[in-house]
Amino acid sequence: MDKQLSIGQKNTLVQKVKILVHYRELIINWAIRDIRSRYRQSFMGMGWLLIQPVFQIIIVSVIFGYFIKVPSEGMPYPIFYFAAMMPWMLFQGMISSAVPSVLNNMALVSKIYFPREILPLASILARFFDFLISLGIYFVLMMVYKVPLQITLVLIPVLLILQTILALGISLLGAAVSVFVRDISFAIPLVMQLWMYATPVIYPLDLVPEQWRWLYLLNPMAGVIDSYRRILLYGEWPDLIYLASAAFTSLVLCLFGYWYFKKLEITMADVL
Amino acid sequence: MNTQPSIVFEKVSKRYYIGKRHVFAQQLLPEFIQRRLAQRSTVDELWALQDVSLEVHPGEALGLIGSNGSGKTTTLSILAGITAVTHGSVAVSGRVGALIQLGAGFHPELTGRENIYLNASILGLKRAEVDRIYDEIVEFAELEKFMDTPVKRYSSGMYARLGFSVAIHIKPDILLVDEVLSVGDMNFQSKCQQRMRKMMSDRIAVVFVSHNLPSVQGLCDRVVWLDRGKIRASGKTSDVVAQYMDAMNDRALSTRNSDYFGTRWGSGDVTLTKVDLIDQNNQITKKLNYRDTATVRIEYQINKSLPGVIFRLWIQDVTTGVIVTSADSIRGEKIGDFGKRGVVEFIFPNLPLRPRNYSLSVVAVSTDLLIPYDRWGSVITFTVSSSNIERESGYVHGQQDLVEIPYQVRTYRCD
Repeated sequence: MDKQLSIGQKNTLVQKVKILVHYRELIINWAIRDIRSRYRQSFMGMGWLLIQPVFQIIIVSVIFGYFIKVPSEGMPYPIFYFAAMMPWMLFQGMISSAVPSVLNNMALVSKIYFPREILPLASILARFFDFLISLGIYFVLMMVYKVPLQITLVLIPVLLILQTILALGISLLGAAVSVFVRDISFAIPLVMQLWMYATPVIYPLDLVPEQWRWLYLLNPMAGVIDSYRRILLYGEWPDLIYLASAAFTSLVLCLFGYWYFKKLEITMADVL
Repeated sequence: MNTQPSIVFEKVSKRYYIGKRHVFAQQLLPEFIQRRLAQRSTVDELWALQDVSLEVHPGEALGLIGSNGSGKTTTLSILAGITAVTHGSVAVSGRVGALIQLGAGFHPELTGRENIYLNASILGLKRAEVDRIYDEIVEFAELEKFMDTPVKRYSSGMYARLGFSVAIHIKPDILLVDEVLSVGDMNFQSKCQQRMRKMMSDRIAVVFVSHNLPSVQGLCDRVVWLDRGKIRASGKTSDVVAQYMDAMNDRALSTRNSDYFGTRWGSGDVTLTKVDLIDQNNQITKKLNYRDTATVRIEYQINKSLPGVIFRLWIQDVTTGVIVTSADSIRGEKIGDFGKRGVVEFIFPNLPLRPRNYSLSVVAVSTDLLIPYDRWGSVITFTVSSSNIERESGYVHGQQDLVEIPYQVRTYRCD
């Protein structure tokens, strides 16, 4: 594989992925480091992983569930909200940590060669740890509100894979571009906020008027988040058309993102 | 050498875009648009390398010399796969251990231990492999006590030691070393040199960048001299280094009236009219042979009645600025003994300076040493050449010292 490094530019996609597999240990180590370092300097440490979502559930539930009375399809609003917020937080977390990952490690990038996509990839992997904690909160909520768990939740991994592919595509594009145009790092929080409102997180999909729904569902996350609600709360199968279209968009974005990232990779170290 | 070369550079050119942000942003666009934009302005281009071809074979050490900005680090970056060439082709075969500009790619927040593992895994090693070499790395770097300290608290010397140690222990086929050794102390430098020589005997190819010519001479078989991105000379180490030193010497002379070299000031009561360096054949020169007898001749003019004057000179190593030696005329001489105009000569029999570039500064100063009448810094820059050095028994290649003090060696048997 060392030979391949020198001619890295000309490798096929398969070879590039093979090289990446060779680096799996680095990816995992980097992800673990990411998790550790994120909370290392704070007093509450990992506690923040609990405090943040809990407060968010309380605030959003009071405002949207209690004051504004957003319909929640017969579920207690906190559960209704959290079943969507949990995967959304994962998605948002993946993108907002993966996009600046190359820029944040320029010191390393300018000194030593390794496949640069390891950086966004590890940031994305690290977020699964947060997701596990959220999943714990979810189970507790279900118990508190005495809502039965559904067998369909075994489908969670399918949805996870789908949204990870999507996050990866966007992150690779964002990470590559932000090295050259730093504005991207500033735009990301805003974009993610807007995107959340364009996704059925705090409201149900039914709220979107029937005639606009096709347009709405061009947002691949809309189908994904709706599917989460179905499998987590109602024991229903996800809508396969929604999912298929989301999968298609995600895959195309991911492949394009990877290709574009690899194209720019070699020039990244030239930007100082 | 009949083996496959480890490194082949063929007509390599490297362009950097400098300065403005939008120039970087252009690289995001498809190439045909980039080409269109490039036609419009070429002002922000910098060619760090132009048409550079070179080869390094296993077991060989190639030295890269040249002044700052000549493209040495760019060459290493290309070899390490960090950056791509603009034109030309590069072939590198084998695992590359690289130390570029101090850092071997360490993460400042991580501890020494974590960085060893991270760095080694970036270079493609498995955890178990790192476990095996971990102790050797720490021992060689002499950093046993600092393995749990974040590297951001390391001194630059510690940083370089750890980086070098990792780079040599990952079993590279090619070792790239950029100026790192200069921040380590003398002991560590010579330890590194020894290790590199051993690695070369194990058929590892070394590319060595340094401003320290003696260490280049001590290590490298061949040298490439880069000058503003182009190869100015390449070939046998002693030849290229000699050419390089000559050129540096000329440049120093041509700029001697600038602010850096040859600052001249003083009360003006005495004027130094001429300063010359004279070799043992009575020729004015800028180049001495090792252990030649040298004479510094100072011509002066005294403009005012003075109680006395002292002439003093000192010789500095150009690279480091270290004062190697100084000399004074006898103190308290009456002005009459000198005359209105005159000459002072300092004679150095068998000048014991090692081959390097030196600068000579001269001052005429009052007898209490308080008032400089005419102080002429770096009036002459001269080279002690190594051309006759191979014949000298006492000289060992790669020595870092400046001066040779006469000594004797005695041995006794005690068995």
